[in-house]
Amino acid sequence: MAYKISLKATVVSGSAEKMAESVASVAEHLDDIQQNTPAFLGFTLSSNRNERTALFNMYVNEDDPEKATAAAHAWAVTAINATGDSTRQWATFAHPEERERVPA
Amino acid sequence: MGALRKLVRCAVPELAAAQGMEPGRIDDMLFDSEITRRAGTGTSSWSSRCARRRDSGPHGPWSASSPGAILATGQAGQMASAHGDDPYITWPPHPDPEVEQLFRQADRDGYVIYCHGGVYTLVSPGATEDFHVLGRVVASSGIWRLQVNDLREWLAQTANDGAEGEG
Repeated sequence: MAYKISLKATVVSGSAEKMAESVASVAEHLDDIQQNTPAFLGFTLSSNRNERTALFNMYVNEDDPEKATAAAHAWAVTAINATGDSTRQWATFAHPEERERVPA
Repeated sequence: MGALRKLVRCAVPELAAAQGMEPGRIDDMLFDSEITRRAGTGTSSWSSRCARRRDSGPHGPWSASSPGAILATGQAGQMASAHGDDPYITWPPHPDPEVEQLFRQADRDGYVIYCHGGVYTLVSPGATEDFHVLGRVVASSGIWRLQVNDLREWLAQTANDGAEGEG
């Protein structure tokens, strides 16, 4: 069983260019995590400069929706921290914007 | 027009013309240059992965740096064409033909598309330059179709945003 977990993060500070670089770096690290994590089936990451937000759509191979949400959140935070920006630059929300069961 | 779009759309053919060579040749030169190696050390394992893919992959020339590194070091030449028939196409062909069609249409609509390491990024036209990163294909998973749907939704959303902005 798989879940699509959508998480929205706010990019707290920095210029538009800095935000673009930061989003690209987070995507790079998410890709690394995906390649090393069998339960991490896929992701898309979108940024909205006007809102200064980034939307993570994470696809997780997990039977339990709570565990799927926790895993997706952990991967997002890990990728953000790996950019070196730390959570001072990004604010993630522990509760998903959306949680949807999907066919694996 | 944003800085990244300017670099992608203008710098490649201009650099090529200035040097009297095809864009792909400039890509080769920059890829092997000292400035590229310096940038590569600043982007962890990313450049080395790209380098391996560039040597062994099916799609030919390959962009090695992150967009930030490209902007910072002026390595726009690395984003030279990976499609022999169109010098302005800056990404290696996507393995999913349907996605490649979406990319081609998005390119015609003014989006910038590039790739590093199997992960494709689209930048919307207009002042906002929103990003959409499409994670890599996992062929054995039905999840991939959902990722493509995410891409379609984002393209539709940003197209609407652009139309409202123009109106």
